[in-house]
Amino acid sequence: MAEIKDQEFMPIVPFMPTNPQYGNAYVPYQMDFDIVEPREAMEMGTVFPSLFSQYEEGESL
Amino acid sequence: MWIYEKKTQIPVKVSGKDVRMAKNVLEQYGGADGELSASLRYLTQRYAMPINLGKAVLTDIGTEELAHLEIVATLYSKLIEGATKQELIDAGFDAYYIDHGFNPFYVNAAGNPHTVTYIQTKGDPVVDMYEDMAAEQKARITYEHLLKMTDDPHVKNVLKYLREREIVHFQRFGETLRIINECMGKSAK
Amino acid sequence: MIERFDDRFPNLPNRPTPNPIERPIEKPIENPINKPIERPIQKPIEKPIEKPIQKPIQKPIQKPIEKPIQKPIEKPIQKPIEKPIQKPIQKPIEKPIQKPIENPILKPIESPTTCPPYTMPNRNKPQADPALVRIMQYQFAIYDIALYLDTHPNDTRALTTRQRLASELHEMTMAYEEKHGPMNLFSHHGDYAKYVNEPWPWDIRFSKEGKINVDI
Repeated sequence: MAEIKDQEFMPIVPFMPTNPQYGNAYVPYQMDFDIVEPREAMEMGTVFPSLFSQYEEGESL
Repeated sequence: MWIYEKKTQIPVKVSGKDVRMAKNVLEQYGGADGELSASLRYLTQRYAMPINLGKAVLTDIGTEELAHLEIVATLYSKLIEGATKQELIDAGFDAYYIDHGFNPFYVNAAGNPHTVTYIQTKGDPVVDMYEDMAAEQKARITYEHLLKMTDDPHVKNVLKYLREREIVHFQRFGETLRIINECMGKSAK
Repeated sequence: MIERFDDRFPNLPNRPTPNPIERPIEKPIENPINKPIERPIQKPIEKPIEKPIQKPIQKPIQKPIEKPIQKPIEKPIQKPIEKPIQKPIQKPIEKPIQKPIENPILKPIESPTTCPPYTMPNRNKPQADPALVRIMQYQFAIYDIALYLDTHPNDTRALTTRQRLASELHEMTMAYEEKHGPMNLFSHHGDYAKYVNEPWPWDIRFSKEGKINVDI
């Protein structure tokens, strides 16, 4: 991931766990803070473009 | 406590009335995976959550789901405004009108009333997070199904916004699950 | 089996009021069933069929059948079929006859006890102030950053951004509330008397609403 200065942000948990166990589910921990302007954010649905998932007709994840 | 701000979270617009779509939109109002279920579920899971961070996440997302409930109700009332008797009968909505008039009621699109057996809280933080993540996924896919059912671009924008919010909520609950596991439990560090 | 209050708590200074059940009933209530038993037995035997049958048939049946059926059937069917097709949202505001199903019982209820300004339907759908949309955008951005900060509590980048957006939001909210009245009950600015009658969120119409294929 991109370099993060220690003064700015110390993540509580790593991006993905260092020692994952069977029988558990893990969601990646968000490390970036790139945001868009509020006007565009409300149309997109979130201020974080990394969390934006474009909906296309007929698709399902 | 809750404070009400006299505005919806986003501007809700429609291109015209659509009684069939109004009936479908009620699925997210009083349905099993709708906003009412989501808000009740999250707000009641707060009390046994041992981590302050978890309490904050559940409170904020639960409150936002109440705001989404209002968005769905506004969308419904704009879609059904000015409906005539024949349009209600054609959409199969006359039974609902007889019972509830033009108000939205907590039923799903098929007319089944809302019940609290749709939600669950087990009191265990990890299990509750899994339940919340599943609920967000179910809500997201319901919005995708609703998006396929309409052609109105304004209504599509509202539904796309609500769908995106579900994805973001899933991410937040997932991060809370990571934190609970790794800061509280014996599992992965 | 009436317990004397004094026996259980002999040391109480105040003497309680005596149990009203112990007092003899001064004016016994006459059994109301006794008197009317005589009268209803006599009259129905003497004049059984003629009079009571005639009156309920003629007068009360006429009113509920004729008048309420005529109005909601005839007028609402004809007019709303034609006009709402032409201009979906604008005309229903001007001519309330086009929304018959909305308030079919309006006329009989209006006159007796209700106060007209608060029960009239909202026929005028007000336009939104563009400043409201900007407030929504900023509030939404702050909410999303607040959710981020719930799981990333020590992220200074998020804290500074949130602070900046919150101060801008505060100024915009102050200006909006001065014009339109408070947006919540605890607000410091604005004329509180406007809170009730300023348009409610689900009645507001936004710009470019109602037109298809237009950029929002």
